[in-house]
Amino acid sequence: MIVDPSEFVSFSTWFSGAIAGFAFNVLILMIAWLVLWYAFTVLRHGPTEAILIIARAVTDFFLVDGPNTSPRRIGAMARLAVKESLRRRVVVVFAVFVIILLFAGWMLDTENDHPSRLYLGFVLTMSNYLVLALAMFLSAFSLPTDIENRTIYTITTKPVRPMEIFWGRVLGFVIVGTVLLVVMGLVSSVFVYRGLYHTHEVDAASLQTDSQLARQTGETTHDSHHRHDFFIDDDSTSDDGTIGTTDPLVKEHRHMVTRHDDGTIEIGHPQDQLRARVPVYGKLSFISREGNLEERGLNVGKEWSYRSYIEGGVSQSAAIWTFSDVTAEQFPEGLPLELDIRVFRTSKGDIESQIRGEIILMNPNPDPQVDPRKTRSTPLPFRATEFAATEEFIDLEDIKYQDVDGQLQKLNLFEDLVDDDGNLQLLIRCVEHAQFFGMAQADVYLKARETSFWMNYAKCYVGIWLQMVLVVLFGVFFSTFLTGIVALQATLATLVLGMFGGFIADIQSGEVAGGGPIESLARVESQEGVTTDLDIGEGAALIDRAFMAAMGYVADVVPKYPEFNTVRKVAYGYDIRGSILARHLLITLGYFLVLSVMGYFILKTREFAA
Amino acid sequence: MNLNSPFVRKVMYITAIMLLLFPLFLLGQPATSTGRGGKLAQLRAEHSLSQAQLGDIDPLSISMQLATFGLRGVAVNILWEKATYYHKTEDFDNLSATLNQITKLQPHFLKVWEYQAHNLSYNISSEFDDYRQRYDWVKRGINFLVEGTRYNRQQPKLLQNVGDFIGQKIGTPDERIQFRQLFLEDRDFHQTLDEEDGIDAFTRRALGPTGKPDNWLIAWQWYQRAEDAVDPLGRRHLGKEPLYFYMLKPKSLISFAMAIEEEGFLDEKGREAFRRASEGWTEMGTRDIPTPSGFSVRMNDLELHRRAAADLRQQIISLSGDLYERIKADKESSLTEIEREAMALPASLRGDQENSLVRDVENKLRILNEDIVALLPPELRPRGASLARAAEDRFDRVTAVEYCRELTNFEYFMMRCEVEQLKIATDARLAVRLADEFFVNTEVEKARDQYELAWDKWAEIFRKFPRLLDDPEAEILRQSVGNYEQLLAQFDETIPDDFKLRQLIEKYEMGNRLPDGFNPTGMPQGAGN
Repeated sequence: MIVDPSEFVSFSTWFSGAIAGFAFNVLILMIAWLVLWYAFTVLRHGPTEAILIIARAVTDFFLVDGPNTSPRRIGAMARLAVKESLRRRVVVVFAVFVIILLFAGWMLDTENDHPSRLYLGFVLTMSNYLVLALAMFLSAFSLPTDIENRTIYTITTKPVRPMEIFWGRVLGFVIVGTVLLVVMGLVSSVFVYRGLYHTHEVDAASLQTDSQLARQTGETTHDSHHRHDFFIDDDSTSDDGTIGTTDPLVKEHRHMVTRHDDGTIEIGHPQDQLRARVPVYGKLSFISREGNLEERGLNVGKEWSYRSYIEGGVSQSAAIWTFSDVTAEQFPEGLPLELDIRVFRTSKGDIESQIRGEIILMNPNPDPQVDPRKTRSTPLPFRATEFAATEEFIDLEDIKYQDVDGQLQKLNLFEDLVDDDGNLQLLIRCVEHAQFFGMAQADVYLKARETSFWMNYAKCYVGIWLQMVLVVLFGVFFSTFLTGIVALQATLATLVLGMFGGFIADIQSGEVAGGGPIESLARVESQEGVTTDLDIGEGAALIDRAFMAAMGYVADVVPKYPEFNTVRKVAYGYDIRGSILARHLLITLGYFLVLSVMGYFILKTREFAA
Repeated sequence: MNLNSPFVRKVMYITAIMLLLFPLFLLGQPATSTGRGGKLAQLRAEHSLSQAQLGDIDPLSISMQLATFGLRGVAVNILWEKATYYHKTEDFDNLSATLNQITKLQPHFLKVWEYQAHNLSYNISSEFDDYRQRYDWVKRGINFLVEGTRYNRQQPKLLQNVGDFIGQKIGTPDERIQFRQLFLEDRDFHQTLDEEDGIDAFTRRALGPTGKPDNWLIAWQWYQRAEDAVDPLGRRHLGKEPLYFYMLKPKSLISFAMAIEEEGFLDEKGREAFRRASEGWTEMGTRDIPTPSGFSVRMNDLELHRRAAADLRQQIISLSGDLYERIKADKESSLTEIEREAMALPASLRGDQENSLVRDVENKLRILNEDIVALLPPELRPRGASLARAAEDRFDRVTAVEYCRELTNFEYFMMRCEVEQLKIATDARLAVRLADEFFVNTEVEKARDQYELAWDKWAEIFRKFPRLLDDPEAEILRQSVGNYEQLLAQFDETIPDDFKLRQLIEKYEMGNRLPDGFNPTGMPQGAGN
């Protein structure tokens, strides 16, 4: 699974950087806001009056409106917003959702090797888009409609303070969106469960008994575009009978197999399809062919540079992961490693065998007084499997070193190889000459445990909920000073800029060829390809750069919605860490505070009668 | 009444609409069970363009197309971009799902099916290290293409692509042994293929020597389906030259025969396979192949055209009386002394210069039909010209047939099929195979016996079919001879001077075969000998 490098940054490191950036942006915004506000007010009331108006508004915020903001009135405004949403037939969205789900089975590729990823990706993405669209339409039109219909007067004359109007609207729409999301989540979960659930029978003709191994093997019937091989060991018994399993994993799942006392064999429900692994990631570095420590490995010519490669054979090339907080409490029986690395062959070699690799455990900070042989384990062999997270459990008993006499002696993982700070290094090498292993930081991890899939699923919906809150905030904010349709477009613009912020950054940096809007227009007109040089003139190039810089700044300022999207984690079966959610929550809170304050001042100074 | 009044305008508009309904009806009336329908429906039927004539009608596909509200092109562009992105980021599950969406929006755009099926079976499959996963993705590309044929039933190009994938993608790569084995055991895939029109995966014509469906024989059936879909008027694109199009079906039988021999069926089953291949190849030779020259030829008719051309020339010569001899004598008399000496030299003693001279002389001495006709008496000239034109036509056909035969290696495969039907050939191959196995297992006595038995048989084969010495299989045989040399060395012996396959050794000595330690990145060691 692709993991963004920003996720490896600890919460504290992120927070310290984010708070500084937030403070800087708020300062810029505040100064720009004051300047613009003063300029507009001067035009209407003159310079002295303008200062007084601004000063009064600021003091009102801190001394009058702020302390006297009433939760009761906010609740009342929220109730109004909910009623308004119901009047606008918001349930139509839910109807659309259900209709799409009903026909989804036709569109989804049920023969896919990873159906759970497809199903989960589909329902979560669809929920995401639908709820954001709903939030956009609800929030953008609410206030402008009230202003147009003059119903705003009945509210402002209550009196309801500007902040209460703002927060009330936000709260109301968030409540509507939340209820819808909860219902969507429940319906989606049923859809996913039912879509993935299937059964098999036993293919009677395939049953075979191996009396030497005391094992019965066979195949299941072909259902849901696949079948399984299974085995039942005679000595594996339970209350229901003799227990077996399907093996290997097919379409990421297996079934338990039970042979009852009367000889009938029952294939159980699918298992391991919906998971939430809790990975413990390490820090990755590489050793080059010559033995030097590098940040990245080799490039074997792939366009996508997410992974880099190490060379196999006699080269010193290797990848090193450094894990922290490796304790006996967490890993009492051994290291449950999962690998999802890539293989690049420069020669066919043995087609039928996977490429061999080896794992060596090392102490990152060995005590100089200790025998160096005791600071690294003997190689633990493995065979690389691509495109699947394969488990390589390193039993504590298997960790050994070679003593001076060449004899293998047992090593204590936690005493000999884990340093005083709880760090452990894991070195991976490719054994076969002229073959390569490709890896990124998230490709190798320790699987600490597994959590509840459905809790993880709910956490993903929290991420969608936070996106919805952001859209509502922007929608309500824009609606304080723009008409409905313009507010909608402005909200949509922030959504699009947030979604494509990475793309904009790539254009700015030149990673994506083609230039800014003026250069792109020139290329379309002249039919020049994006990689050919095009001289559009100094002036046009300057305008382009300025435009891209402005867009880049705005894209930096608006929320980066893809970061909130944790669908991939759920689809691939990885837990969404609490620190990630906390990060998203804090970001949302930051936008909430800033937009609330800005919305308050706009509503405060706005003359509705005009 | 004022002509500009709204009422009048309304009446005029309604009248115009009513009048226009008539031609609209004539144009757009749908075809029914009792009527041909309007002009558009007739044109659709005439050119086989109606949805039902193209292939299956999929309500989901139609729904998705309608749901794009005219922005189908935009949607498809976005999906293609996404597919490229997923391919780049190795997200093959989403790639596969995206391709399904693209084909739902563009079910009758053949290039989509061809391109993406190729992408799945050739490009994406090679991304995987495990051959079983590669096979799965090859199958996925095949299934994708098969689905495309359901939407486009009468497209020979697409049908033939399915045959190519099943035959060549499974039967020719480095991992063909593993792929063929996986295919043999893949009951579910056989069932899927058997459900297609015109494909019988479980009848004799699909079963290999193990009694299970063979990929080459299934490919043969798809090629047959492609040929059945060829439109006599040529409106449906074949996707390649007709010669190559029609060659693939019989070639799949040859490939099948060669594959099972490689797998060890060096017995009646192997011979029977080559017998069947020979029939198919001969049948191809009787097929009319259109040529760029505007006429069709049959590859079996080479001798027929040659004889006819020679006969016509003889007629021209006879018609000319002694004119031909006079022309010939004149030309010979114009030769220089050096040229005469070069001609007189035996071919084996000529050097490059002499060979070049001989070629020039042959050109000089050549007497064209037109030359003879030009010198004929006026009363004989029309007849002579007619004969010359007929001879020219025959000669063009000879050239065309030779060209087709050369492109398809027609004679080689004909000979190969003939040879492989002989018991001596399969016995020779079996003997070499056993000998090599004994050699590897260091059973030297048994290996020696088998090698010597093999050389006897191979010598007999090369005597009857000397062209086989040029076959790459002969070079492989040379490697077995190399094993024999090593074996003899263990007895302190060498290859005897009267070794029956001495020709093979001489042909594939250093300079004629890949030397040991050949460096693929540079010139071979010992080059320039």
